[in-house]
Amino acid sequence: MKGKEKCKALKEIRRRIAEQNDIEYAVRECSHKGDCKGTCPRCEAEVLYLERELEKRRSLGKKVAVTGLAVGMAATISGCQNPFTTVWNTVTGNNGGQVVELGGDAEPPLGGEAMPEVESNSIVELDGDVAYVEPSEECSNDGCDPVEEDGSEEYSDQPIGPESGEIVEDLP
Amino acid sequence: MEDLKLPILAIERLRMMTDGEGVTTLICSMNCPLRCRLCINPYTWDGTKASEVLSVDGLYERVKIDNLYFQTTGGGLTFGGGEPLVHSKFHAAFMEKYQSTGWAFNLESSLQAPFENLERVIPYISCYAIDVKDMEPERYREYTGGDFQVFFDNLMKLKDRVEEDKIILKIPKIPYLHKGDEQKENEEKLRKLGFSNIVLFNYVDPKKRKKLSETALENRGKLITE
Repeated sequence: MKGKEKCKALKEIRRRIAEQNDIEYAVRECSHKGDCKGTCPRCEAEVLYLERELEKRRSLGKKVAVTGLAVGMAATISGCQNPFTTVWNTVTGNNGGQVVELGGDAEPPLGGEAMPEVESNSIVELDGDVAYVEPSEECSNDGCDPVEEDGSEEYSDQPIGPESGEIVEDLP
Repeated sequence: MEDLKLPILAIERLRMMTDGEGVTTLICSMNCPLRCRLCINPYTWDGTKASEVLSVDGLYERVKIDNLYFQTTGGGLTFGGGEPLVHSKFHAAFMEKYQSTGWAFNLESSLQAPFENLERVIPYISCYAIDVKDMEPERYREYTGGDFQVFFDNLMKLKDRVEEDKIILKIPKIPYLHKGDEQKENEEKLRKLGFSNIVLFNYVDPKKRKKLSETALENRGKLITE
């Protein structure tokens, strides 16, 4: 699930949290045209607003309804089929034997080797989705920033341990 | 725990319909003992990307922004990589400290690590997505550079210790390596071993990939010769 579809699902989750906890929340239609990453500063501000309101209720001893409030809702809202389900149906012969292709525009089931390619350093924004890009204090200027003085990226091309096939204990 | 640090390639927020139930955040850590010929994240081992290093609390600060979504949808964090089990002490410490959040914790792994690394995280993991690669030991070694027996022993030990429905096996059809029915044969072997939660998928054409480092190209070139 990507873009506007994701934005719509997240907005519906926020609306439901507000409704279940008697929090005033006016759903505003997004006027943004073009690419959408599923969230934006305005959406994030709405999340923070809800958290503040929930905390107020907790501090007043009121009951707060959050846990499991929207389980299974994303699929209902989007009408989108879980890639897991799609592939699983392939295994069980329910979808005509089509096998999902990963990479490119396809959002993969479960991370790792199925990740989109990454273009920049450190915590990055990934293809089609949103990463948290605020620089951390731990990595502000202590050697983890790979940008050289001349502005070029560090490019060591040296393998990072462990070596191929080496089974290691936890790395430090 | 104060000294535990996790080198991170990427954090991908707000994944939906991908890592199982609910809204999830994928934590891609650095380092991997495998050298899969068509690795999609060679940045975790080829030296071309510097990582940001986070403490246990530092990682929590990064991901807590989506706490409301995690709680309402039954979602949480998925630890991937690279191979997350090479940082099992960090992951176990994180999950121990923050299990009270109620977030789900998922693991995406090739199981290429000492069993004690896997055992360390088992108490906290809701769902295991296992990269099978191949069930034929020599082909496995040829493609990954890793030891099939390590993977297989860990897989069977995992099966003995957790409910079967927590384990999802990802079986790829690997271009240039699987030229016949290998994927189907791998699936059948795993079904005979008692696994039923299996995902089949194809890798996209590796020639369509973006720029790779010389190290990654050399690694890939051992499989694609034309």
